[in-house]
Amino acid sequence: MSQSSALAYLATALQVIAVLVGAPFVGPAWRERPEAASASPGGTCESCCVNNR
Amino acid sequence: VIPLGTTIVFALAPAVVAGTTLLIAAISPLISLGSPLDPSADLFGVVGLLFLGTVALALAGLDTGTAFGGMGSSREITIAALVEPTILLAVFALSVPGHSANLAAIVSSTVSNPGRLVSPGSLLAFVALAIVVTAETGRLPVDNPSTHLELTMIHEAMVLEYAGPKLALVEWASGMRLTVLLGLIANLFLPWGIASADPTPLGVLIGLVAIAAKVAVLTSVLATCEVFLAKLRYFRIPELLAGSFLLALLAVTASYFFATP
Repeated sequence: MSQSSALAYLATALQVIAVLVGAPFVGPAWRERPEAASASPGGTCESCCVNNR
Repeated sequence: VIPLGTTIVFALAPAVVAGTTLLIAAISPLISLGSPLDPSADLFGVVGLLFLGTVALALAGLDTGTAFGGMGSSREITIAALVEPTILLAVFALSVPGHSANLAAIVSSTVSNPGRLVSPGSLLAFVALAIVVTAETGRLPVDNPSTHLELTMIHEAMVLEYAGPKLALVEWASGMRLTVLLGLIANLFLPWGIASADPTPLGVLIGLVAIAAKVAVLTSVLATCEVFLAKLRYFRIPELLAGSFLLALLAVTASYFFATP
């Protein structure tokens, strides 16, 4: 196996590992949970429905 | 905990979603153009693998026999039926200038001719793909990944019966799917930094840093947009996806009209 061929295999393995490692950082929801908004003081069912219907 | 009455479909679905996503990660030109799996790295293949994962989860939702599972599967397949043709058309628009649907060929064609990035076909395809990727990965404004309200759930309704390691795998696979698609969009439209077909150790290192930086930037943009966006009503989603389909159709038309020899 030539060096460039071995590096191509290494790059493929690295990108799979990068996706596995990166997913928990990229994947989460970035918005406040609507349940928490409606349960917190001041939150109303109406505001929840308007935002999430 | 595995619900009573479920079959092997429910048990295997998380592995199918994770497996198809990892296969997409392996065949996509994220770090280097010279992947050993390059002959299989066809954009139409990527669309097929994505849909395979979606169908596996939808079947798992139906397999539980609960109202929420069926409702989530119904909604997911409705959205998928609108998303998949748009992805295929946008992909077709991107494959026209490079005369190939092979991912590495498209990326290397863009690297050698960066002027194509500002062509109408490329810009329209980018917008169409950005919209359908948010729909395909269940992000706002199409789906709210943090909701468990019965009126709004799509993806979460399908996976409501999962618990423990299987739920973890489903959530991890969802994150992987978003990561891969963001990486793919980044390299299709901003391919700089990617290692060549005959990579050097430094090229691989630069490729790794470049793709991490691009995905981090796209994730920040996504997070910023999600903070300011409300979820669309379910019956408004087809309008958004029909708009993205129209953009993809225009992208194909523009690719032929403004094609450079």
